[in-house]
Amino acid sequence: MDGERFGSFEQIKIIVRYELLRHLRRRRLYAVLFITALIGMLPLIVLKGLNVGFPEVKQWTSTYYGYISLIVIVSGAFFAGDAIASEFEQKTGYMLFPNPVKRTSLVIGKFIAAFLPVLLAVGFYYAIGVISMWATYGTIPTATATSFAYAVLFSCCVLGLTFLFSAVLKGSMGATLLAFFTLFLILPIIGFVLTFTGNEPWYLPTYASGIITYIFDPPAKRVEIIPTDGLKFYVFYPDFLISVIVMAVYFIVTLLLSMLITNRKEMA
Amino acid sequence: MLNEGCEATFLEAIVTEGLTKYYGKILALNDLNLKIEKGRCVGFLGPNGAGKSTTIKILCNLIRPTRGKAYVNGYNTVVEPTKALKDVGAIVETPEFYSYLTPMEILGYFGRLRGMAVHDLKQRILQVLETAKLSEWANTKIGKFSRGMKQRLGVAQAILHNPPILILDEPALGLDPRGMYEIREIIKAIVKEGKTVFLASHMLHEIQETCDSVALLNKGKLLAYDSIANLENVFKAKKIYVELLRPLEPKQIGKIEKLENVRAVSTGEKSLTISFEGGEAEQAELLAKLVKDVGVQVVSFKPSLEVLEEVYLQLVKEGS
Repeated sequence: MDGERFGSFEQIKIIVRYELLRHLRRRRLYAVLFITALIGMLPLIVLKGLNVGFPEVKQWTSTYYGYISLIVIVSGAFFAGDAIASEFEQKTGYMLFPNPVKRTSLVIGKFIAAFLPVLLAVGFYYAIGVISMWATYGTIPTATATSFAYAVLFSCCVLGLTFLFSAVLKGSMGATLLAFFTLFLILPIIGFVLTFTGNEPWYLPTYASGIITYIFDPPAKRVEIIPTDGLKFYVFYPDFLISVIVMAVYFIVTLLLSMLITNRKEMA
Repeated sequence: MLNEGCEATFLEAIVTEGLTKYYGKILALNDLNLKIEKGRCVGFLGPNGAGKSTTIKILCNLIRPTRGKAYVNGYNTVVEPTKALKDVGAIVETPEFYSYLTPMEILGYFGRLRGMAVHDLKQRILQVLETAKLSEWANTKIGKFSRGMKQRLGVAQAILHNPPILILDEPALGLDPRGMYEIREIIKAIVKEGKTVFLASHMLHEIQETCDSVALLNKGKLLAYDSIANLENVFKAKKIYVELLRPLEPKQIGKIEKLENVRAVSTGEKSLTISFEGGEAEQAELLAKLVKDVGVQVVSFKPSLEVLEEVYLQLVKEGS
């Protein structure tokens, strides 16, 4: 086919297809779906097993969908941690990069291929939630769709950050672990310290991801101050619009940076 | 496309202009100027760390030069890498593939990335796997492959799209003698088709058998770039290997050493390698004297493959 007519879009589709094949062959997709099913079913099994009855619907949905961040972070690290780094670490780039494909196309293709299984895991978790809620309460909160949209946006944000680590670091394991610990420990700890000192960490994606659950029962105030003996405890609630913008900015900036770094990275 | 003032033209498949590469403070490539005409097979020789792989990586857009430019098919490899690489088949270092794919799948992936039509692609994959003697393992996961098999697969992917330009970095590395021979035959067939081959290798005889020209590199600097015949003449390094019916006697060896134009003589059990000065006429005269004056019973003779080695060692020594 004529090289001019055979464009980047076609190449991206091919990259997505073969990257998805990689996820399937390496069984990571099945592992993530198993973890998702476990996290999705366990609270239901515990409540049924203990026979304590289900809490009020808003309270239950907020609690249940609170675990989605964990699923997004685990699956994001699983599918994106080695996306770029492995080409350099395992030297497969020596075969891939001399093909007439823009590295930007490679990053976009790999990103889409990482996003789809994460989307599948998130969708699977929401499906379990929706079915269980319908079975238990006979109703599904209307905010579920918005919550799902926020979760998808958070997924993009997590994948963008993980792609950035994968582009910067030489090792896949390092990128995967750094992504996991940054999103699961480091950023939440920074958020906690900032909150403790009375500063709202609105610019942290992990804090912004709180809107995934707050949408079920939006707080009346953005900040609560709880006075105790000589101390003030602050509780901040993320603003919906600001949080969406923060997650979108993280997603776009980190993805662009990972493209830029991959373009510049040398296969020495 | 080519910039104004650039000396590269479409007559040349590969051009490097003042190509220089530093890794930190280490100078890997020093002002390399090279022009490889289309349809030529050029060997790229040099010891470890000479800068061969660095040059090939720049040509394949795997690394960027610190200074200078590299053109493939008239396109700057840094400015227009996709156009430069469109008509190139390459093997860089030891080929590594995705272990979870089979040769059919990986070649399908690369073929489709290059825009090859799906219905033609399958046929072509089977063809190149046959050429690389991998048909039997077409549907086996690459994770189970030996280094030699991966090397063969590397060759298969390099020729998959029938490229007019091949850039090969040690294509026979890790292969057994039969495998090396087969790869050499593949390259020879490609050269016969009029394609351009740029072949980096440590194996001097591989280059001598396959290529018409050779570029000698040492410590990042180009020492010589000429046809093998010219280099032999310049360095007066003609050698012939003579197979004998019986082992030589010491006095016969003495006589040969005293013959006109003979520079050195080395003997095997029933063989003789003579290094001499001159061209074909001197060679004919020498062979005649061997039979008539020395009484050697010659079974056969052929040019020695050690010639290039001599030139190479001499140049590297001078370069150092």
